[in-house]
Amino acid sequence: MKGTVRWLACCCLGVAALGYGEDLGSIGVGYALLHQSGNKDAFASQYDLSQGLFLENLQLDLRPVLAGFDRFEVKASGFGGDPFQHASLKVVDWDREWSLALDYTRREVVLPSPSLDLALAGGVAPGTPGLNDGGRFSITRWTGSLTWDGWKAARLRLDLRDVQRSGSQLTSFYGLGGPYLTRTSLDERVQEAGISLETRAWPVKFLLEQDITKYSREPIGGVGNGGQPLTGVDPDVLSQYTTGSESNTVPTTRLSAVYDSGRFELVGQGLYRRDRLDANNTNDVTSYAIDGGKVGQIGYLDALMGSADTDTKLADLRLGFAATNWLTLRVRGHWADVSTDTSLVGLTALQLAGPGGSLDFSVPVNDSGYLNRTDKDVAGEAEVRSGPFGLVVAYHDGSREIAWLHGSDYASESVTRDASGWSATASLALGRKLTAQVGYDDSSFEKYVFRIDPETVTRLWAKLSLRPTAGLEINAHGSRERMDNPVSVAALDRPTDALGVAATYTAAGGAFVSLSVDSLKLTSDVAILDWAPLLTASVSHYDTDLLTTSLRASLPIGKTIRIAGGGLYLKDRGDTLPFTSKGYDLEVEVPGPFDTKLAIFGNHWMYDLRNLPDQNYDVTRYGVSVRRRF
Amino acid sequence: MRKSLFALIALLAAAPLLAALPKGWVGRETCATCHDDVAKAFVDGPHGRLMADRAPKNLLKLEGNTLDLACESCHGPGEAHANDPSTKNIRTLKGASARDASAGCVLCHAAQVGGLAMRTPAHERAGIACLDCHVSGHAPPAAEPLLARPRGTLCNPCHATQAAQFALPYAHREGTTPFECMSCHSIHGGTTVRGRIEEDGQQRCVTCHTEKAGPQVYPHPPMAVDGCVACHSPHGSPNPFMLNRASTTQLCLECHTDTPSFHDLSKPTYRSCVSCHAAVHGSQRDPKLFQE
Repeated sequence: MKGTVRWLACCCLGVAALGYGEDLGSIGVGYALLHQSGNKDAFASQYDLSQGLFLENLQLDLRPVLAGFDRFEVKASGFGGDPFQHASLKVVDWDREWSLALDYTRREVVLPSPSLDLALAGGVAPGTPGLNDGGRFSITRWTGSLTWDGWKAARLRLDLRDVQRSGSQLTSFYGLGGPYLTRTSLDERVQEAGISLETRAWPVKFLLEQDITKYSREPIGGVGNGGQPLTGVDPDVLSQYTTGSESNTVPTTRLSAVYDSGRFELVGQGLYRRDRLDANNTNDVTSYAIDGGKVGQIGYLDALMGSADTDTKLADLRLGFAATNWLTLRVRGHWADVSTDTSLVGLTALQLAGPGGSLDFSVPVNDSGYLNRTDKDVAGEAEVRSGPFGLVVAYHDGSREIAWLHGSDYASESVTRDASGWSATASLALGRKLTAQVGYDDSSFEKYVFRIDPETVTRLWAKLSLRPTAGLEINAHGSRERMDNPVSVAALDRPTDALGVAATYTAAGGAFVSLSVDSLKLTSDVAILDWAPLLTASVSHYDTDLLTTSLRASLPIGKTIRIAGGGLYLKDRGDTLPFTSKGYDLEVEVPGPFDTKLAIFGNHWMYDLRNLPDQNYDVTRYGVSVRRRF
Repeated sequence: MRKSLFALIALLAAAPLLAALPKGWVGRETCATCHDDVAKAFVDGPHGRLMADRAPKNLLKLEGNTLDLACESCHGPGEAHANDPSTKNIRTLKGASARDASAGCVLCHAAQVGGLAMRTPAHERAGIACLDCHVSGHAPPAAEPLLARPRGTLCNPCHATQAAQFALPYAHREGTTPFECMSCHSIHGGTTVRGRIEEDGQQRCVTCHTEKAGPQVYPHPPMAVDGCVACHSPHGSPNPFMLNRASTTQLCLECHTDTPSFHDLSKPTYRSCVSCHAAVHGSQRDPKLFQE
């Protein structure tokens, strides 16, 4: 990776040094140092910023160099000490009526350690060896599109996508009497190609898209922590953990139609998708070496072939009609049917092996199931506008039908959940100086797919935006949402209240300051049954009370110096998992040699998880960037 | 008087061009006679450059050279104003609401405006219009395409709660591409996101989290029915893995009241459900979701 950064930096600085004149682009290259105390892996799972050389920004407009193109842009950022890397190329040649866009992104992710969940469960002490992090992976995405615009009747477009995920995740599981770790591989690949045709010659515009997606996943299992159990020294070691592979080829067809006469507007869409997944688990083994193998082996073997066939059908229709200058009517209909049939055949076995030989106990498997979902929804709304005032009243009615058989050992389930509701939104716009909206939604449901589904949902909300003087913008918002269901179902009670205000002042010279304060209080109570150790009625109580305060400012001094920075203070005053998080940053940009600008920057993060101080960290990242326009 | 004279001369000079313009329109060159600094800034800006790039046949409703029509697309036909310069016979747009000021955008961007009205009706209901998020092109934009604010912060003034959620410890970091709002939300209702993920909003996550796309031989119904948000908060959460609850046990027990009696939840062994039922997103071989 460092080689890539050096290559990019050398190329770009080389181009800059050639001096092609104005507006060819800009480049920024930086070097950062990191000082950490506390839990480094917790910081990595939240920010994953590291130290070293990084490409802050590269922008190249190569039209002056490569004549004949209407657009020839290269952009890149993040290579090096940044978890996100991006590069793109856009080429447009309108004389020949084509355009090309290529995009590359790579995201590095560090997963939170499973020790946090285990610590909350009380099973494993914080700081247990082998549980430093939850594993790490990267997602690399290539996307490309080629558009040909030379046909007056239609536009033709070809899309390609390639997504690769690689890395592993550490997952704890209870094996022979204690928790062990598996290292699950995340190696998989998605390749997709699509072609689309967008007509423009007729009053009704059609968009026909045909995609084909290929998904493949390699065998994913592996042993973590050397097979040793997490609770200390145990003679029984997880000696082997292997799993199978998956593949799926998915064709998708979509036809959209849009008609807009100024008074009538119609949008329709139909989609069909077919998934045919094959899961090959013909050689899966989970085995333990008893007393390090001295006594023998105990293993669970699977030789199974699974399949899951899903057909997805979807239709949407939306119609708008401007009845008068002040009245618009809209109707919307939605239907979706997703049907999955599954099967699993083969053999599963328990194998005991010792010095005296081995014993196999095998059971044949022949299982099948299904999960079908059908959604129907219709909605109508009327919008009235008169001068600065607006009012929209809407009503909707729908249903969700679920039919489910998990497997032949389970009972089939079938439920149809009906929904209906209405909403009203009033708005006021006095030029751009003042805009305000107030809305109220009310929905009610019958029957339950899951016991935590609500019976009623109500939401009252308001937003206000003020621009009293040039450069000053004040926004405020508030909402109050209530969800519940009866005691006979789950006694769900979920209130959510949000309130916030933000003010930004931008001066003519580019200086600005902004301050925002936001409060979000979310509580959820659900009646549950708790085995502890006898069956008792209990309540699952979740409570967060978040206060977020953010201040940002940028101040140019003269034409060459700029100071920018800000702070974020975040506090959860709820009683479930209270924490305090702080972040500060400051950057000073000054003129440098050879028409460059030097930026000295520093960031500081602090995380304090009150009930689990093992997760706390204190991190400072600072460095310098060199920027140049050329 | 002097400005009128210049405008009249410009009108005469531009006579051959006028033949291709809609009735009552005078073209950009005529506008530039008086508003030369404004016109130059627009032409040199990104909106002007794009208009110059684009062949007029590809636009939906206008005939003639696109850039020549730029001024009057938003400010209305300028013939009367050119003959008699006054703020009363031209749309100045000063003090106009974003909705009124955006009326001109539809001439070229009908698909986006139509999509906004039809496919994102919440924005339409709230009176959100083009110039709430975009700049016209007279002033430099904060980001492409003609955005009024940097991409990661564009939606924050209205969606402040979601913006605050992006600052939570476990979050898809705000402003860090690709976690901009439009990576998941289709503001104009377009079909830029393709293939299997376009089925509905619940499927957006699997563009990156490809292994969760399914289908599974033994699916976990909340994911198959309600999607990822049944258990996760995609904007951000105080909890690891952006879960809706602090511990997986709490999350699971709210639905699973039918746990077998040997699940003695006073013992740590049973207080972390995923330690045994690891395949929470669905399994290809195990009905109890023990293994993927």
